Amino acid sequence: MPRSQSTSERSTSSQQTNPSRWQGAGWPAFVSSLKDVAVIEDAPMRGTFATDAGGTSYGMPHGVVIARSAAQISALLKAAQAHRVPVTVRGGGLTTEGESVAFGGVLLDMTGMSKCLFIDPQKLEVRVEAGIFWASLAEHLRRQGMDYLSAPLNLTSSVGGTLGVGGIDVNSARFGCSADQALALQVVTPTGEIVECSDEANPELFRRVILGYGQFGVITEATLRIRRYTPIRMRYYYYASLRTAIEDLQMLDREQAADYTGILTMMDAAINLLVAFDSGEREAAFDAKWHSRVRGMGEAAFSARAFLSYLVRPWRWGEALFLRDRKRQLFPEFRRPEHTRDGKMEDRSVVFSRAVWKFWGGRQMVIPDLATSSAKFAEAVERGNAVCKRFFPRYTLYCVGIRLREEHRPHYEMSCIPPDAAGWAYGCEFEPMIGDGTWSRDHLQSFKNAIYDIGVEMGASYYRFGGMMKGYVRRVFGDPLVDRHLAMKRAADPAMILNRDVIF
Amino acid sequence: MRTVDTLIVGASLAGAAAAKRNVDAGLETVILERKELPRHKICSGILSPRGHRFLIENFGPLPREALHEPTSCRGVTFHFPCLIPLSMDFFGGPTPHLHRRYSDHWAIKRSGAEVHDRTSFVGLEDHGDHVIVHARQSGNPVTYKARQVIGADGPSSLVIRSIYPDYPKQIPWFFVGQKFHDIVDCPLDPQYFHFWFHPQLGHYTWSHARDGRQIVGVGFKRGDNFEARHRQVKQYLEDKHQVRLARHEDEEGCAENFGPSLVNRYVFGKGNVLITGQATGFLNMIGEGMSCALHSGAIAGEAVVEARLRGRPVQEMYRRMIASEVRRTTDQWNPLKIAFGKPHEADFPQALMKLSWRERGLVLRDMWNFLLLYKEFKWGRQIAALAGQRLFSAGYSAQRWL
Amino acid sequence: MEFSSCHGCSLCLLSCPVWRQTRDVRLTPHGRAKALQNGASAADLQASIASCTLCGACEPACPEEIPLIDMILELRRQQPIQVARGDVPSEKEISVGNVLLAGEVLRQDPERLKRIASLLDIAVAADDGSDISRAIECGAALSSERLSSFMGSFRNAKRLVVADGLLLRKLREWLPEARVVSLGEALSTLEAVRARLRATDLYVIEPRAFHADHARLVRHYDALIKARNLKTNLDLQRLAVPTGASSAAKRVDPLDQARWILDGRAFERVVVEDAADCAVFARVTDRQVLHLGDL
Repeated sequence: MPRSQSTSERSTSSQQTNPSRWQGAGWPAFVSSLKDVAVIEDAPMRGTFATDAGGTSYGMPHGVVIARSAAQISALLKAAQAHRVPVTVRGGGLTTEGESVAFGGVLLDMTGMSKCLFIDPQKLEVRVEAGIFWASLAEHLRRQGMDYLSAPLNLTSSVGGTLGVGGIDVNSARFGCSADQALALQVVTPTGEIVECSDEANPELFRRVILGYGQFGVITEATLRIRRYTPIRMRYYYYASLRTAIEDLQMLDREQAADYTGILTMMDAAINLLVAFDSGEREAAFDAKWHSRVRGMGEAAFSARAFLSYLVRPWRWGEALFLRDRKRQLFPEFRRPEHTRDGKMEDRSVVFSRAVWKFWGGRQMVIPDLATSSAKFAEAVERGNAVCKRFFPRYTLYCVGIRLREEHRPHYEMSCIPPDAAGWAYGCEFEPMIGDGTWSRDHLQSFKNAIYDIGVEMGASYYRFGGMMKGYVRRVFGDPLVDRHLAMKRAADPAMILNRDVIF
Repeated sequence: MRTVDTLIVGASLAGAAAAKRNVDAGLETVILERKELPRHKICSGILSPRGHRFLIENFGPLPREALHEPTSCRGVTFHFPCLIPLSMDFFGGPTPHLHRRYSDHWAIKRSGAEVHDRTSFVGLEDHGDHVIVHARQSGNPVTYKARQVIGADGPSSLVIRSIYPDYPKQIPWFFVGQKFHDIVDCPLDPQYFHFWFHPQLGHYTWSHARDGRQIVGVGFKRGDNFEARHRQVKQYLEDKHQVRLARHEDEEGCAENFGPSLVNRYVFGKGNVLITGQATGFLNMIGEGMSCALHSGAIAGEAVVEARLRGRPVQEMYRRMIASEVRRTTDQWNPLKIAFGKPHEADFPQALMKLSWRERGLVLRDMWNFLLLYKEFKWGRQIAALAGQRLFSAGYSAQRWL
Repeated sequence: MEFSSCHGCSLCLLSCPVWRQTRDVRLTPHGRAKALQNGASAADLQASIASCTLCGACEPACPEEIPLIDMILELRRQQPIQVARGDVPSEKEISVGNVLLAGEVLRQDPERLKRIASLLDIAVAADDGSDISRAIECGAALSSERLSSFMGSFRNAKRLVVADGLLLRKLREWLPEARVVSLGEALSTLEAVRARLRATDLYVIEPRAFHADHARLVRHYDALIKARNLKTNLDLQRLAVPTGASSAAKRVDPLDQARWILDGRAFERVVVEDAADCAVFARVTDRQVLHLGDL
C-alpha cells in the first residue's frame, strides 16, 4: 500500500460506512438490568425503525425504547455504558445516510418526548422537549402569534436532530443555520448525567452538542429563540444560468435586500430564485433599490424563452414536456387559496414542506450536499450539477446562504460549516428525483461519492455527516482535528455506545 | 428442518455481501458452503478499485492475512504480438491482491450471518411462499425451509441447474488454469497484472507475481489441453519477454462462464430463487468478477429486504435494482462506450494516445486479430445491436435475462 | 390494503389525536403500516387498532395517498373492538326528496333536530343507520339484509344530509349517484346560518366528514372563514383537530382535545357542527357553546 500503514489503517477503518451489526453480546443481561425502562422487543415494532427517510440503509435494532424523560434516558445510557450496548438516537428519522438507523442495540425514539413546555412571548423564547417536530412547535407558537426563526423545510424534522446537524431554511441567510437559534439545552451525556448547558453554563458541552452529530449527548430539552409570526410576500425570478442566479443570490444576501432567499431548480434547465419579504416596507425597498439589479426573468418571459429554445432542439422535447407537467402540478401547490390571504403566503413551512414530500419524496431519497465559502460556491454547484446529469435524468438543486455568527465559531468546528467561510457559507443539495423508480443502493452510493469527492477536492464541507459518508470526515478535516474530537468523544463516552458509526 | 428467512448458497464474496444486507435488516440468514472454511479458491485475487471500495465501505479495512504478496496491484499491462506494452494504472490508486482463502472467510464472518460449512446444496422446491432446500451436511441429508434462496455458488452453479437444468448447455464454456512457478528471472513488473492479446496463446492469457512465485495462466474453450496450452505460453514468455521460470510446483483450474456479460444474457433466477455473483454471468473486462460479485450480491440481498417490505415479488425487485449493475458491466464490452465513455477502471484510451500513430495502429490491429478468435461464438452482431439500443435508452433490455 | 406504500415520513403523526395524547408511534397510521410491512398481524396490532378515533386527518396528510381509513376499518373487521350495539329501527318508511340522517346524538335532542330540519327544509329519516355506522366503526359484521333495507329506505331521495361523518364516507361509496352532504356543510352553506356567524366565534368543524372530502371542503371552509373572519379548529395544515367525542374508541380524552382546540385562541362563542361536541366544550369553557343549528 502506498500510504504509511498507520494512516492507511486509520482512514480505512473510518471508511466502513455500512457498519457491522452489533451482534447482541450481553443483551438479555442489559435488558433485565433496566428495571424502569420499557424495552420493546417485538419484531414488527423494531422493524418500524429499520430504515430512515433515505430508505437505502437498513438496520434492525435489538430493542426500541420510547423516550419519556431525561431520567429514563439517563438510566438507559448508564446501563448501556456498563453493558457496552450501542444506543442510536432517532428524532424524525429524516436522515438520508442511515445516521438514525440502529445497526443492532437500542433505538431510542425521541418523538416520545415531544411536548412544548412553555412559551415566553416577552422574552421571545420557547422551551420544548427535543423530540418535538418543527411543525408541532409551529402549531403551539402560532396560537401565541409567534414563529420559530428557521427550520428545515420538512414538517417532521425534530428539533433535537436539527440542532445536532445544522438545518437550513430559506431565511438562513438572515438567521443562520437552525442550530444557531438554540439558547440552552438539557443534555443527557453518554454516561448518563443530566446537564443544562448554554453559552454561560457548561459552554464546552454546549459547543460540542450543537452541530455535534449526537456524539456528546442526547438533547432532551431545548430553549430556542423565537420571533413574531408574519405571512410572507413571495417573488420568483427565473434564470437559465446557474452562475448568474448564484451571483444574484449572493448579492441579495450580502446587501440584506430580502428576508428570504433561495434557489430551487429543475435540473439546470429552469432555475428559480425565490425572494420573499416579511413586510410591505421591505418589499417596497426591494422594488426601489434591488429589483432592477436582479437579472432573472419573469415567468412569462422565461416560458417564452424556454419554448423557443426547445423548439429548435427536438432531442430535448422529453425534458420540455417534463418541465411543463411539473410546472402545472407544482405551481398551484404553492398558491393554494387556503394558504393565501391578501396575496400573502401563510404558513410557508407547511406549503413548502408538503410540496417537498409530494413532489420530491419517495421511498428512496439521496440528497448529498456541499457547503462552501461564498467564493467557491458557484464552481461547486456547477461541478455537482455535472455529476447529477451523469447519474440521473431528473434532479433538483436547492441552494441557500447560511449567515455565520462569529461568536458561534467554536460550535462550527468540525461541522457542516466550512472552516474557510466568512460572513456567509453557502449550501447546495443535489437531489435526484427518484419518484417510484427503484435504484440499487450501489448506484446511489456511487452518485453520492462523486458529489462528496468534489467537496474533498475543493475543501468544502457538507450539511450533514452521516454513517454512509463517515469516510469523508477525515479526508475533509484531516487527522489532527478529527483525532482531537475523537479523544473528546472517548473521554465523554468511554464505551463508545452513543450514536456510534455516525462519524467516528 | 431448519426454518430461516434467507438461505444463501456459497460462502463467497457475493454470498457475504448478500448476507450482510439481510443480517442488517434483521433477517435470519444462513449460508451453506460445501467445503470447510476457510476454503481455497482459484482466483487471480486482483480486485478492481470499485470492489475494493465496496469491501471497505461494507466490511472495513482488510486484515493483512487476507492479502497475498505483493499486497497490492497498481494496474494492468496489456501485451500484444507487436510487443508494444500498454500500462494503465487503476483509477483511485492501487487495489488489494486478495488471498481468497482468507478474504472470503473474513467477509463472511463480518457479514454476521450463520454459516453451515461442509454442507452441499442438493436441490430445491419452490412452493410459492417458501422454498424447501435439500442439502448434505458431512454426507447426511439436511433440509431447510426459507422464504428466499440466493444462489451465490459460482459459474458451475448447482442452484441454477436446479431451476434451469438446461442452462449449462445454452452458453459456451471455457477453462481457465494457472500454474505457480518459482522465479529464476522475471522482468515483468510485479506491481501490474499482465494480459496478452494474442490469438495464438489462447482466449485469456495472463501472468502476475504472488508470494514470491509467478503465476502463468491460460484460458481457452473447454476441451483443449491445459498442459499444452500452458507450455506454449511459458515458452512464449521466455522467448519474447525473457521470463525464466522453474518448473511449476502447483496448478489449478476451473470452468468459466465467459460471455453473458458481453451479450446481456444474464441469469437472475426464478420465483423465490435469486442468482447472484459470477453465477449470473457478471464479469468485468479484465476478467475480474469479484467487484461484480460483491455488488450484485448486495443488490440481491437488498432485493430480498425490499420485496418483503413492499410486498412485491422478489424477482421484480431484483431485476429492477440489478439494472444499474448490468448497465455498468455490459457498458464495459460496448464498443461505443469504450470509444466515447469511460466504462473501465483504468484509462485505456489515454494509454493508447500516449503511443505514436504507428504504434496505435499496430496495437489496434493486434486487438482486432485477437477479437477474431471469438468469432465462432457469434457475439459480434449482438454486441453491435446492444450498443445501438443503448444509444437510445438508459440501460440494457431486461427481456434478454433468464 | 396499501400499507406497503408507506415509507415512513411521519406526516400522519402531526394531525393524529392519538399521537398527540400518547406520543407513541405504535398507535398511529405510520406505526401500523410499518408494523404490517414487517410482518405483524391484526392481532399483534390490537391496541393500535382499538385506539383510532377515525377522525381521518391522516388521510389528506399522506403524500402517498394511502387510504388510511379503509385500512383501519379493514383491520377492525379482522380485529373488532367491541360488540356493536344500537337499535335497529322497526318502522319501514320510504323517504323522498331531501332527507336528513340525524344520528344518535342529534336524535336525543328533538327540539334541536326539529329546528335543523326546518332550517334545511328537510325530512328526518326514521332509519338513520346509526347501528350500521357503529358496526362499521367497531368492525362488526354487517348483515346484507339490514344494509339493503337501510339503503332501500331512501332509494328515491334527492339529497341526503348526513350528520355522522363516518356514515357519510360510506354512503358516498355506496351511492355514487345520490347527492350526499354533511350536516355541517349543508348548514354552513345556508345564508341564514352564515349571517349569524361572528368574527369572535370559534367554529369547530366536524372532522370525519371534512377529511373524507378534504380537497373540496377545505375550499368551502376557507371561503367561509374569509367571509366571516372566523377562527376554527383547523391546524396549520388545514386539517381539523378532532375532539374524538363521537368515536367508539376511548383512548383519546375529548376534554384534553377540546382544551388544545381552545388553547391560545380568543373567542366569545364556540360553534360546533357535531352535536356530541356541545357537551365536551361546555365542560372546558365557560363561554357559550352552540350547535350550528342553534344559531
